Amino acid sequence: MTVRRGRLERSPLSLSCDVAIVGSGAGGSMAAYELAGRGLSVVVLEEGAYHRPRQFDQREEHMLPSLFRELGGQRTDDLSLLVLSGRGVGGSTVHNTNLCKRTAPEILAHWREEFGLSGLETATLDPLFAEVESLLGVVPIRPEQLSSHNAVFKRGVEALGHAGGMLSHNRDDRCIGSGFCELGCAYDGKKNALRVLLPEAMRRGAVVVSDARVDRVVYDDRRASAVRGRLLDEHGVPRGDFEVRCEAVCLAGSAIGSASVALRSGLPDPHQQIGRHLHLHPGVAVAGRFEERVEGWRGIPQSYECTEFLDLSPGSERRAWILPSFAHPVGTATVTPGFGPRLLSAMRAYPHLGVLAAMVHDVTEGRVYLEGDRTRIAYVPGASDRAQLALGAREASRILLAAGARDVMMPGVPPATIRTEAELEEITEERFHPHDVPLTAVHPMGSMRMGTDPRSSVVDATGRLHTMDNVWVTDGSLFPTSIGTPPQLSIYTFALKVARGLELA
Amino acid sequence: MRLGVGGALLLGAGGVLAYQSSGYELPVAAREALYALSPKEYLVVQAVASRMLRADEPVEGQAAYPSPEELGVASSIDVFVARLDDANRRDLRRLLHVVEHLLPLGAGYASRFTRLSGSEQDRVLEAMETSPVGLLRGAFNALKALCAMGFFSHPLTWGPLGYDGPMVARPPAGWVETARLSRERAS
Ligand SMILES: Cc1cc2nc3c(=O)[nH]c(=O)nc-3n(C[C@H](O)[C@H](O)[C@H](O)COP(=O)(O)OP(=O)(O)OC[C@H]3O[C@@H](n4cnc5c(N)ncnc54)[C@H](O)[C@@H]3O)c2cc1C
Ligand code: SF4
Repeated sequence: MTVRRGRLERSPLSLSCDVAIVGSGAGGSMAAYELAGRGLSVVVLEEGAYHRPRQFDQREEHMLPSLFRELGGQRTDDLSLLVLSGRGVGGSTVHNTNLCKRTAPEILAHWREEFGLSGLETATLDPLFAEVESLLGVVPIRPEQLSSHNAVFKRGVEALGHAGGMLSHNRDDRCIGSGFCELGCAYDGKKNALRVLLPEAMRRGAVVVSDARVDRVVYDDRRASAVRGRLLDEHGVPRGDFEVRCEAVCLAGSAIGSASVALRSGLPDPHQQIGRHLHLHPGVAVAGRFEERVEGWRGIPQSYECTEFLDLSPGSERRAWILPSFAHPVGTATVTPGFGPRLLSAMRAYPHLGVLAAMVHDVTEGRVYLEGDRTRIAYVPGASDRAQLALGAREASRILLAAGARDVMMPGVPPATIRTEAELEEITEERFHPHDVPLTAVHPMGSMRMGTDPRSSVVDATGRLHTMDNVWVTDGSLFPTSIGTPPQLSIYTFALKVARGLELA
Repeated sequence: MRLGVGGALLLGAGGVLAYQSSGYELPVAAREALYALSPKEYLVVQAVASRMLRADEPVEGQAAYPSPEELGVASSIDVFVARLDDANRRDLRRLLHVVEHLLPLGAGYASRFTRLSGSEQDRVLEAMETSPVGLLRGAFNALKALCAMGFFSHPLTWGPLGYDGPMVARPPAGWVETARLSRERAS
């Protein structure tokens, strides 16, 4: 595929098209694929660089800064929560771990009832989900693909008689189970935006420009006429300008990037909804130390889940999804307690660790906002979500102990070492005030949410801004609430739905 | 913003303290090799990294860790800082000045961080790690993450960890072997 590189383009770059798409991740790539397939001329602008599989060298110090926003160090404004999201052609689908789940029926029912959204019935969405699954080759992970780390987790879940099972993914037989998914796949085993949707969109005539950061949507009254921004050099430093004149705009820069562009552009927002209602699925990790060598870095990183503590119905007080979460050495050291000899000594247990994360289907609502020119994220888990983090950490620790861990370490100030029931019971909400325990989030969503009431939402059921005639949102920003499960399949599917309904006036 | 008044004031002070730059000498070659940090900031980073990554005593049969100085951790952090966007780079540089001038005072030392003994520096870092000011704890974690990136990304640290590194650097183990290994462990 031929991506036009903003770092090499002559400046100012001037293009025109029917639809300008901001961002090339799950949502942007699907919109480009669909709209180009309908015969519309499409230009996709992507802030990050274009990488090919041979460039994914499995080195954290190269790949984290290259593939993630803010070099992999994006945090909430109080620095208490690390928010990982992608930056580059293919967006977060380049480095995600490929789990695929449909939006749960309980969530869709809640969106219909609470937000008055029509067209979200199972009968309408199931065919779209099926279409996306077929396009991306979504299949169940086979039992023989279970890594040793996931097998340890499964052992613990089964020993406790908890609900659990194998997951589905969008990898094919090019995947050799190297375990480096979060650093990009050198074997091109992921059937993602980069491998499937963007090449097909380009075959259908779409133009993809990398290193091109959209700064604003140009509009007059209710109509956008162009997007403008900066071409970036290989260090991400602006080196020139571009303008893409268009009949319509799709914002697909992720729940953080899209809200940021909308705010920068000053798009009409009479009820100040843009950027609000951000959900993140905050997660906490605990590490069990085993006698056996687990070698958690090998194999498909996540293939088994525990759903015992996940009930997605509204008002539920079981909102923790537990799954393996092993990191390479840099990532592991970052959350291992202490420093100096204590840290380095603890790291020697690396091959013997089993690490689980509990991700919370959050009710906390954060916000994306601008501070001068800077995009900021405000998010502090509320008491109810802190209780869920505690539930998740406690039950993940219990699973590790049931799987045979000698002890379980929960990072934090102070860190906890857990061996007994009494120590498990000490993991309570009180331990989860900001900065007490390192938290990570990888699923930003909901900052430009759908709804029928413009006083409490940004876009309507078709994904179009209430205040604009030709600006749509086609990424995770759309979701009215947290979805509680891995979001990519939902994002791909909603982007397809929005793009299919998009009409040029 | 939820920095907390204490945190915001501290970082603001970091901007002012940046002007105190006397007494920080680096050889010309080392100074010229810097991408983003001033000599003073580089020396603070070097001092922090040297305590953050101080090796343990290996027990018999265990490989020893290399030192952060051998691996040039402070230089890798300098390169990383050069890639940060302006706002994050400014915050990080301010933080280094706070570490150098203000945090020692908070821990009871009337001296710059770079002039304290190793164990005194440890106490300053401990105070930062457990500070009641949330932003400082967050800043500690950010500094630690930088140090971890400079250190644990280096192949010489992988022996002591028992980690065999990227698979692209050697013939792929192949799916079959990985799967067999998993099955054996699962059974
Ligand atoms: C480590 C990790 C693992 C994950 N694993 C899974 C998983 O297993 N399953 C799952 O379902 N989900 C997973 N996710 C989440 C999933 O990848 C994301 O939810 C999904 O990709 C989000 O889609 P999106 O279209 O909203 O944004 P993204 O895919 O993040 O794409 C947004 C793109 O827009 C670009 N952009 C932003 N602003 C601008 C601008 N102003 N101008 C130009 N371009 C811009 C960004 O650079 C980025 O490339 C994971 C995420 C991470 C970080
Ligand atoms: S586990 Fe599979 S998909 Fe992930 S990086 Fe390795 S080969 Fe690629």
